Amino acid sequence: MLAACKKDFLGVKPSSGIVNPTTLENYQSLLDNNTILNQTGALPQMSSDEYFIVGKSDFDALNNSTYKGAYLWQKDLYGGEINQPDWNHLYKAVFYANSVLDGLQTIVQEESNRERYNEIKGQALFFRAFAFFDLIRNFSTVYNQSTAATDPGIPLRLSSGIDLIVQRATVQETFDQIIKDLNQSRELLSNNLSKANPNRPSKSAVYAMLARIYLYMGKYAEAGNAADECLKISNTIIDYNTLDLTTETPFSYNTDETLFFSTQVYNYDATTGYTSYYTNIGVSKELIALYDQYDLRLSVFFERNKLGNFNLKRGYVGSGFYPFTGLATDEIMLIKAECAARNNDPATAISTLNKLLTNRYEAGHFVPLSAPNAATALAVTLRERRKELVWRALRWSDLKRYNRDGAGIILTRTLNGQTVTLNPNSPLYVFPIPDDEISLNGIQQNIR
Amino acid sequence: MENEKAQRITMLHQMYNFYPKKLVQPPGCAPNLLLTMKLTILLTVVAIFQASAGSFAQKITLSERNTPLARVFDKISGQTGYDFLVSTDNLRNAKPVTIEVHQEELEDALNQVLAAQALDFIIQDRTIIITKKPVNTKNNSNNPIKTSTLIGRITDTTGLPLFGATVKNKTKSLVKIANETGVFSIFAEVGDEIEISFIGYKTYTFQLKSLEPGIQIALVKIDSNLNEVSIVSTGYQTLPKERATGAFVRIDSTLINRRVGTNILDRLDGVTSGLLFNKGLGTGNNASISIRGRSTIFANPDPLVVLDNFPYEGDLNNINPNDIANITILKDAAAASIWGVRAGNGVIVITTKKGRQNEQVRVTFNANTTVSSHPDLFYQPQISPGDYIDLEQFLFNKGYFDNTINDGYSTLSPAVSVMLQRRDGQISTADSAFQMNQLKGADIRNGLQRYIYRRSISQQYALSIDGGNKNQTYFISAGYDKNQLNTAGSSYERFTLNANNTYRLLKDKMGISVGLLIASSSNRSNSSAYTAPLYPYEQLADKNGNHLSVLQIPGLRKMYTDTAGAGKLLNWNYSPLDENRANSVSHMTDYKLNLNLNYSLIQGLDLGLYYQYQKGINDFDQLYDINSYYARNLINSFSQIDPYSGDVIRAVPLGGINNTNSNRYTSNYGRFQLNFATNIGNRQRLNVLAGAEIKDYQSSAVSGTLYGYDPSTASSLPVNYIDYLPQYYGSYNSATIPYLNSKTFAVDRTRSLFTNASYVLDDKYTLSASARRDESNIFGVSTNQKGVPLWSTGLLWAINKEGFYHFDLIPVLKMRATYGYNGNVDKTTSAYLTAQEGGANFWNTQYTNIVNPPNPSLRWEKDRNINFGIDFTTRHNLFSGSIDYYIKNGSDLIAYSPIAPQTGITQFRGNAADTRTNGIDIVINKNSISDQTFKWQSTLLFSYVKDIVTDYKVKQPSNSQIVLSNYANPLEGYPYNAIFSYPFSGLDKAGRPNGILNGKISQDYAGITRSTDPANLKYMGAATPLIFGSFRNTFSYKNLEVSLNIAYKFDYYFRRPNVFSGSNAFGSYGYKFADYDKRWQVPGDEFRTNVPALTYPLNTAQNAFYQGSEVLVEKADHIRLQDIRLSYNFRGEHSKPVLRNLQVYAYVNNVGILWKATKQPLDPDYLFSAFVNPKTVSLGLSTNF
Repeated sequence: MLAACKKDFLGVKPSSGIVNPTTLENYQSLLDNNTILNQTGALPQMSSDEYFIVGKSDFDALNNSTYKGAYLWQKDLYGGEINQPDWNHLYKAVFYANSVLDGLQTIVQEESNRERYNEIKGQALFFRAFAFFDLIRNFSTVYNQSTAATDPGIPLRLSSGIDLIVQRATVQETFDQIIKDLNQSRELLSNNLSKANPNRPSKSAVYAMLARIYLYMGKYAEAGNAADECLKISNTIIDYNTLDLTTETPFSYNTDETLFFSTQVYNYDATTGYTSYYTNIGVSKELIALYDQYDLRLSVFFERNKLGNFNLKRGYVGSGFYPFTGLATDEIMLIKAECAARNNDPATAISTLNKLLTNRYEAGHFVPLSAPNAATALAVTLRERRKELVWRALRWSDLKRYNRDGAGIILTRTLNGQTVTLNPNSPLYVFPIPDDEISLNGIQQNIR
Repeated sequence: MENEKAQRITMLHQMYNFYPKKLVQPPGCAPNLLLTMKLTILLTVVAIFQASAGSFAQKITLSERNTPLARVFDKISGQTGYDFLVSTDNLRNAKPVTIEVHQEELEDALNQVLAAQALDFIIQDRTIIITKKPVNTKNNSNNPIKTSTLIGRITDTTGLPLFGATVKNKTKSLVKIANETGVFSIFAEVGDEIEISFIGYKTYTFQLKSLEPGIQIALVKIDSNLNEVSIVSTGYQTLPKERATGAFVRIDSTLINRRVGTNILDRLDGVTSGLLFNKGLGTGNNASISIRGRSTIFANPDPLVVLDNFPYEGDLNNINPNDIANITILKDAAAASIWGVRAGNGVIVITTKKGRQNEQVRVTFNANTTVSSHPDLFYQPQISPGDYIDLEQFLFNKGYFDNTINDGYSTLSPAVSVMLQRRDGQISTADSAFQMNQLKGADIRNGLQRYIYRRSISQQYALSIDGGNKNQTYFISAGYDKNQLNTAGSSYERFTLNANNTYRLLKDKMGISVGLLIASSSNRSNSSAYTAPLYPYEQLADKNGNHLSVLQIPGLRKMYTDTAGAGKLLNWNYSPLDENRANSVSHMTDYKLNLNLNYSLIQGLDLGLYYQYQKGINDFDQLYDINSYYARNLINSFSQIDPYSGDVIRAVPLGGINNTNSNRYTSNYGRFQLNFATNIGNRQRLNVLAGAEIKDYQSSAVSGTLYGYDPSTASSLPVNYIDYLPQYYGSYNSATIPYLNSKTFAVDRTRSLFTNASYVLDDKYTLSASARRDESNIFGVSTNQKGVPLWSTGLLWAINKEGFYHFDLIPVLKMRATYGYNGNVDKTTSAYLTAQEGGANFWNTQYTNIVNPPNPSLRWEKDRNINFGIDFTTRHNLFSGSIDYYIKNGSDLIAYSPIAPQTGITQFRGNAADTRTNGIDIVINKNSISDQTFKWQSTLLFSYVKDIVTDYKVKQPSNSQIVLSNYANPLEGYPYNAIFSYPFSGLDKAGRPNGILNGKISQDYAGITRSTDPANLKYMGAATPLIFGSFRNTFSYKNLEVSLNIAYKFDYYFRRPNVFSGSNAFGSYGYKFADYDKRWQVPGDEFRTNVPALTYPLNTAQNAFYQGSEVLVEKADHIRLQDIRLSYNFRGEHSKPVLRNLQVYAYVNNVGILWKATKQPLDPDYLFSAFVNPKTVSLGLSTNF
């Protein structure tokens, strides 16, 4: 009875499992939720040309219409399915980041907590930008300087309040926000890349992300600079000669090249997961043909299955089942090379490529590349990019930007004798916003 | 017995006639007396009982000098044990007494005491009544007695006063109420018709032959059961139902004991108006019982259960029905608002048996045995094994299994394995055909029926002793239940001990009661029980009874397990019959200690202090020994064979696996309560109670797993929980060893203030009011500060007591009306951003999940209740009953709202919905006319309840959400449990179903399911009955009694689960679907069937359309003969006391459906069950002596 008189009788928390996040530790723990914050969408992987479905029966056996819609670039991509992780999951990450950013405003900054406070705020800003970029590259047209100010972008949610519905910003506004968040994050984050927690971004991850984004935007000078800044901090490349070529898991959860860890959403195992025994899909034969006999990546990345097709091994996710889509130094070196080539510096491009490839070829069998001009250097770089960054969910956005720049790449799928074609710059490159989002708030749908 | 009591009343009446001389009442006195009585508190009885006095001295010795008269009466009473009956007015005007008597006769002494007073006396049945002396006798002869006052006392047949009994002068239409000592006075004349009534007692009407003061009338209990009906309990107070404004239902012990079984709540089924047992609703946020429909959407839907004074926190299974005296169901605001925020779903107040004052020691014994029939596993229609194999062959030919086949180890059905062997040329066509025929002839349900399921057998024993004298009462009981349950290896055992002691101290001013309840139960079960076969043609044993192995998920195909590890691994087969025994036991112990203290501060004002301590422990222990499939499978999965040495390396060590889980809770309740009761004049009465309550409930749970466990030494071995370890099969699979160690706790605290008052005028009008305010630690401070005071008011009007009421056909007619608010609580929401521990991420860092976005405007759910009721009894008490009409408006109900996914969540939980429920509860009893050898009593219960979601802010994103998830997605304007469907327009020439989209026949299934236009939907009806009730008849002939209860449910619908819909046979749907044999197969079939053709590949949209189509919705209306009870009472026929009150009984439960609307072979109460609750037969006896 006496306890009743005390004010905190009703102040006690109702359950051990429940936390009202109020401390920096609480916020870090929210940001350490890697299955929410360290994931990217799977649609670009399912729609890309890195794999093929073997037969009509394999296609028919897929129990999910989004698999089918994505593979055949259907106008009605989802076939009525809602709760699309490519949208929902990424906005959930935005919500987590915003919850942390909102919560941080209630914490008094002092000398003793400033470093940790900045670290957490920098992480939250990075996570928000990371999710926004994944959304815009999937649900909007490719960045186009001349139309970006009017092209519909994505809803930019900057606070955690759920009572507010945000309409689509323009593509330009979206990229401005992403870059603003990343620049602020860069100021706050330290150089210390955490080997123990590669799910947490550091300054090198911010530069790497900026490099990836500027490259997508076609801003090669900025992309090249960001890549250089990143490589100044971390530039380790794994020598594939040191790897076990027979195992399906040649890497750990945290490789020496990993700058920031993320995977694809855990939803589409039949076409994006590492299901080595599955014979229903195979790695694109055109892609396999790009590797020569001394290229260790053929064995490190792939294995042959019963039908003679290639299946994927697990790559930089260690023993995870879903592909790595995070940031790693190999991608940054390729960005550096590409930007150099595009900025008419073939020598830098080729030397950067050689630095990477010497670690990818069987020792003693690597013949250094050379290129007479920037165009050749670019062509070589793009080919190596395709061979190196397999199943990183980068191919689809690469196709979008190559076609924007006039590459004219036509994709085809053949199933049961029928061929489906995806033309360059087709509106089908932009995924429709999920039906439930549209019907619940009426934001503008993409025209396909 | 009845006759005996009837005789006693007559005798008392004759006694009263026997003393005519004392009836002489002087004229002129009465009007004076009457006037006095009106102005003063009716009468004061100077009464001191000396119950212990064995013999009363009739001789009086007094030595007094100027002693107040009252003191003298006190002394006389002390010496004789006689009561005095005297008006305060007379006492006040009396002179002091000086007297000296020694061993005088009582009458002589009294004459001397009163000599100098203007008072006279009458001795009547050990009560001395003091009256005024005649003042003037001169005009006596000219003024014959015309008017006067009748003074008397009303008791029961044991002499206990009946406080609150009604005295009605029918001739003059006057009504008075007996006071605490049973004394009354009423204006009356000789020749008037006087009616004495008290609920639960036989009404006694007589013509007044004289006005002798001191008439004593003993009322006879109508029936011990009916007596109990009169008192209802709210958990805070007990009150006569006659004076209750609210909607109460009272279930007495006879009705409780009518059924046989272990569980207390089951005893309410079919005997409580407005209370529905929700069956056949499937999973979801559904309470097992609901009172007056659904009052909430997603918050707690369960009624509050109160055991004696406080909410019961333990497992309801731990309450022994034999210990229960009665149950009161509180249905409306006036009844339930005293429970505030916990009363929104109604309240069930269970009162345990107590000892009774001035009763001899009584021993009660009850024993029974119940045997069920064998569960019928063929109840649910499903595809035949032969058809299923044909279907598998069809899919096999299409390549559906290729991916699974190619991995080399995943489960393949026995039939597919044969197909594969045939395809690969490993067996001949003849072998394949032979094996297929073998499989087609098998049906796993035969094996399950024979080996896994069995009859249940339950035994129940209960013994109690109770009794009491004037100062102490006690009740002690012990109960033992032993049940063998329907599946092999599962059993339940329960011991209960209940002791209750009440002491009356300080001349009855103080009451202390101590109650202790201990219940201990153990539940044994087989957590590996094989109840969900993967294929319909599995076999548990061969012809010779040898145990066979079957497939299981997660599992491995037989071709793999037979060869894997080349003998180095443990046996990898799963043979259910080798493990057909209990491997888990859950021990549950509940202790409840009650300390209650009542103290009468002054006349009418009582102080109550109540405290309850409850503690419960539930220990669960599950042992998968080394021979169990679970342990062998886990050990093998984490095994690796070293390719060089051939050694087996085991990450999960050899030995058993032991899971333990210990849950415990403690709760402390404290209540401080003041009760005030007073009469204002003789026409008004006021009762007020007010108090404060505090609750602290804490629970914790600890669980853990031991590997390599050896039960004989309780030793275990460490394992590596952190790393992903390779799996034996699939060469690239990896997993972590299941880590189940955890500890959690929860704290639930509330603080409440409450008050409740009632005002009665002339016993005709009763006005009641109550209010309560709750605060808890769930919401956080800001919401508590706002608070939601919940309150109610009620009015009762006894029309039959009005002067103008002369409707003889219905001598008792009362009207009730109540209005007020109840609340409800949802413990899962919070006003703050809340997160929950998620465990460790890939890098072994703790992370958290957001479970609740911040919601600063969160508040309690509120439920406004309006209730109108009529209670009636027809002439000669032939029919009695009540009719209640109610309206409930739920507001601020916690609901999920689908919300745009861009917010980061897809469902938001907050105060988002309103509902409106209205209904009617009717109870009609046809009472038996007593003194007949044949009796027939009937009770008809009729309830109508319709709830509608009136406000639901967010629209559903598609019609499919409404059709298939109607329980989770309420729709404005319809019941919470509403069934919608897609219009269906037959099959086309190819066997594909036709739907209707925007008014046109369509096969755009995705368009139909995705449409948001409600015009594309058809509303079928509610999924819970709008009309339900029961009709119970009891016939008795002499000592033999037969009782039957027929239950009915009308006006509701169900959607047939598990039907074949074209291509749902593949995917993860299993084989349990019906109608496969009715599917479209050849053109023309569309004219005879609605079941679509088999199609490949999977067409999710078509499946979704067909499963949601109107052809699968059926009317659920049905009438069921719930049970039959047959009993024989030996009472009165035997001299041996054990046999005197002996009853033997037989009880048959779940007798069967008498009528149902649907032609489908489904029981609407058991839609999702593998079998209908088997019929049970019980035999038992009960006695008390």
